[in-house]
Amino acid sequence: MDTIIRSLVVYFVLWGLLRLSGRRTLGKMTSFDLVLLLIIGGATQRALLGQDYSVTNALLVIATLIVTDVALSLLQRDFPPLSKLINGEPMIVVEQGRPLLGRLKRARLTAEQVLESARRHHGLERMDEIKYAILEANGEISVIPYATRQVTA
Amino acid sequence: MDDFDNRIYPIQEDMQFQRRTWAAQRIGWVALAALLVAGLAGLFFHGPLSRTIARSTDQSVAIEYERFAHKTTLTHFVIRASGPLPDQVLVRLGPSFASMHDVDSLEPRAVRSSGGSYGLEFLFARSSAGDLGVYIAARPKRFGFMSLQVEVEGRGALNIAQLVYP
Repeated sequence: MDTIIRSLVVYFVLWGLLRLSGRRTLGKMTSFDLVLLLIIGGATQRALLGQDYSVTNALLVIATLIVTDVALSLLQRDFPPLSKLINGEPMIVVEQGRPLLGRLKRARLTAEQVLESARRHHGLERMDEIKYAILEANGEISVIPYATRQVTA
Repeated sequence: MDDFDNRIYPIQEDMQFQRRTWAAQRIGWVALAALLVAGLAGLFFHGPLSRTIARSTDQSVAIEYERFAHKTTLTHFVIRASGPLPDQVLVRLGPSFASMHDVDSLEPRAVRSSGGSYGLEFLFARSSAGDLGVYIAARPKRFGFMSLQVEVEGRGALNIAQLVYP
């Protein structure tokens, strides 16, 4: 029983902490973010297993986490407002070539980071080539370019 | 259109929900920072808020211990009794000690030890200086609140309290 309770507590505490940290932590993986995730993994390992390193205990931990994950996904499917609460919602950060500066600031994003995503995924050079840029719930930035680029003769 | 108004294309937004999320995040950041400060101060283990010394009214018995401990993590108790003491001194730890902790090490080695409904009893030889110092390293085996009575025979009893975090 101890194992299952510990697994549930760690799962939800970790989820809560990652939600609190905001989407930028989840999305763009810098080397610092990677180190952070590795350290989080290591720190939670002992908390999950305690002093019991048996196969049985490990299976119980894994089963608890999987069941919790499946249960939450089913709940999200049947209760869409819960999905909003658990995952967050996407948000437009560039509209018709114009960065929405207030939103970018609150999301701890810069226009340069949006341009970097546009450059990397679509080969766009300037902000005015971006029709919409959306900060997704998972922290990634989706860029919708204009259908055709304006070409000056 | 204001930056924070809802857009409906290409996605349906709910900026009110987004604002509440940002507010919750800010509260969360402050709470996490407070947690760090509390941790540094020793509210969770090791630190000025945790380390303490309990003394008997006549100052002849003192116990150094941590107010806060973690389950399965080593914590220390130091029991000191000032002289003059008889050649052998009986130290009694109330029953809550054994139910909450596993003893990892005990220095000096007891001449005799026993356990029962009264808790744990240890008979120690006093030091060559005529006083006694007992060093107990213990590992909490469950989390919760422990109220413990420590008695040094002939010197009276002290009550201490410890909170063990999960």
